[in-house]
Amino acid sequence: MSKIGDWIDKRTGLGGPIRGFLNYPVPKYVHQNVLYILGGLTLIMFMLQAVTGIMLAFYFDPSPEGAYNSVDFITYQLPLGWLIRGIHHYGSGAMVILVALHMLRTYFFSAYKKPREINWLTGVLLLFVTLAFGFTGYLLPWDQKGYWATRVGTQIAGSVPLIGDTLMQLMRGGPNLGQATLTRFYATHILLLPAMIALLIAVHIFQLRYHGMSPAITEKSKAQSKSFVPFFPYWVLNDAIAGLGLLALLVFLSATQRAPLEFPADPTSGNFVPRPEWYFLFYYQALKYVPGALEPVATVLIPLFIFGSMILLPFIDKGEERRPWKKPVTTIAAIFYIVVIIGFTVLAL
Amino acid sequence: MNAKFLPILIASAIALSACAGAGPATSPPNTLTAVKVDAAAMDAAASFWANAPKTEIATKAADKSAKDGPKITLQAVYDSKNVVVRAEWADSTENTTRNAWTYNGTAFTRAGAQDRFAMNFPMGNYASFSSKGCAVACHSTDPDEAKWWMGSESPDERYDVWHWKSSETGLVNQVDDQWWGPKDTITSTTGRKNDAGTGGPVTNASADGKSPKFMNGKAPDAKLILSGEEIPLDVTKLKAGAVIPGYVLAPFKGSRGDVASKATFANGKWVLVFTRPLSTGNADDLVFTPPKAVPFGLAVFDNAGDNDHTVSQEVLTLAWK
Ligand code: HEM
Repeated sequence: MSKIGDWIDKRTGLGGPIRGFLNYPVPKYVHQNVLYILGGLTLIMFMLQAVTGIMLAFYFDPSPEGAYNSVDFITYQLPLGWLIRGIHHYGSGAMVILVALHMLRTYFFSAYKKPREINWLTGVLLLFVTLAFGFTGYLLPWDQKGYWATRVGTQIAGSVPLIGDTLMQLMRGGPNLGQATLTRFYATHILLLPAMIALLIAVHIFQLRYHGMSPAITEKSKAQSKSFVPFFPYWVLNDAIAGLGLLALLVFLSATQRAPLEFPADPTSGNFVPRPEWYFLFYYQALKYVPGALEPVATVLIPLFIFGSMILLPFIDKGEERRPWKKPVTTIAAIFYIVVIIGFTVLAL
Repeated sequence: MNAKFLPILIASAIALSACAGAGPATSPPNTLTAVKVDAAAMDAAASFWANAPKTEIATKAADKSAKDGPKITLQAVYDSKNVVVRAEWADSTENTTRNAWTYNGTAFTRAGAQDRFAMNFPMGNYASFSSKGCAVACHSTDPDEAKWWMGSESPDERYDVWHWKSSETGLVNQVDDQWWGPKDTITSTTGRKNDAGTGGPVTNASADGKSPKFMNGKAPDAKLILSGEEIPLDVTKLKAGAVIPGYVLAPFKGSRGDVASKATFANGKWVLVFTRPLSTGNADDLVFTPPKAVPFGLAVFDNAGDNDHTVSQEVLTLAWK
């Protein structure tokens, strides 16, 4: 084995960097706190999505005439198709949950502060890319829920002042939903977004390694700051155990409740009530409270405000203090968002 | 790793994901939820019906001025091989004598209709049927009612139809397994076709059409003349008022006989149970692949001739639990 390793190393020079990566010293306070698993677990989830997504692509037919039948075939006839699609479906929800939890971890630990701003900024982009995966993937089966949610979703984009119409046409590939929309959503879902996420994850993790983990915030963890364990096998083992648990959970969900596939999209059906995937429900609900005339403002201002404040956060909150209980403004702001998002989601269910 | 957090993390993930995927415990409106049982049997009184949710479906006539039909109470169960549906509806009269002959002591008159019940299932993923239901197959917009027809407009759109007829199929515990497709000719008034097979009702009339040709060899008054048991009409064996069935029935064989039934009429109510294998292996039948939900429609015919039926108005869904 080591002969082969040597042979490859001599030709590629990869041995050193790989050893460096694996032997990276991880502070004990990080290794011993389960919350630090969330980022790695998100990465594992993304890998599962990539693997199951590639498998699905072997059978998926990206046309309005064929998409539904191909997903139907995968779900109900293809051996283990239900499992692959189930992992991908429940995995998309799990990925959103994990990204959100991981973001909250880094937020409450003030990990966005200098010099980790780029880490945070790539994270913000990763959050939006993850949501974009969900939005584009929802249409692909070309069933009633995907079709109508996309119709409404692109309409919302269309209500953006000045550029709305162009934006909507760009997303739909024309005035209406059809082959062009499916082609664009599919290309975005399987080419553009994976390329973006891979690049962002690479920068994100490079930044992480460059700066090391952000400082400990409790006295107990500070005491462990000076002792380290190597990344491999210690942290890798944590991630692997958590990853297997996650996979088991996704298999369990896929087996107990088949990934949903509603009836095929009927553009002429008059009574279908559009509803987005659960992780967009809060936004959908929020828009209900906005009077019609203000809707274009809300469709731009709410997301812009959230995105903008996330981008600006590391440049506004520049103090030394990292303990959330000593930083009431950021802590209360986050709790406010959590309550609003969960509250609106529950109201919309 | 701080082990005490892991169970909390996993439990909350399960709870959150379950919220995202869990379905309601009872059947949503317009949904017939078939419940999995160990052995699905065609027994209207079986104990497993207690666990099968009941769904009530209203029926209306295509002719909007006609009166509404009965509400059908549906239940379904299935096992690894078969699905069984139980339908129950109110009907003031039991009609099982389609085109029967009544003897007045000297001559015969032919009259009578039958109660019927039908379900149709699209044999593919047709967007318009699954969002609009039977209206898609019902071509009833022409002002001339004689030109109305049921069926599809393309050979790629076919429907599996189970048509229970109280006298023509019910008496031999069967359902007429049929299908709909496009009309065979432009002028044809129906796209309704029969599944492949033999058997079925054969009209029981003499060459001049004035009397029955056969009667039941064992009991002249019996409601049913089974093919093979018929004897030539012998009026000397009949009393005035005797009723002779309008058809000689041979049970369907082949694909047309895939659906078995058992029906009882009592206390102003039909209770009908019928069953079919999930997969018959026949090209003119829909294959059920639980848990894939399938849309369907239903119709009930009260003592009716060809078109007189009331139908479900919205698309119905057969789901599996
Ligand atoms: C596909 C999505 C993402 C992946 C795969 C990912 C991966 C990771 C990993 C493996 C770590 C180290 C372990 C940990 O801290 O848990 C990390 C750290 C970090 N992530 Fe992410 N992340 C993602 C999204 C995000 C998002 C949405 C944010 C915030 C908006 C974010 C902000 C950060 C920050 C600031 C750190 C540094 C933590 C520290 O130094 O304590 N990440 N990420």
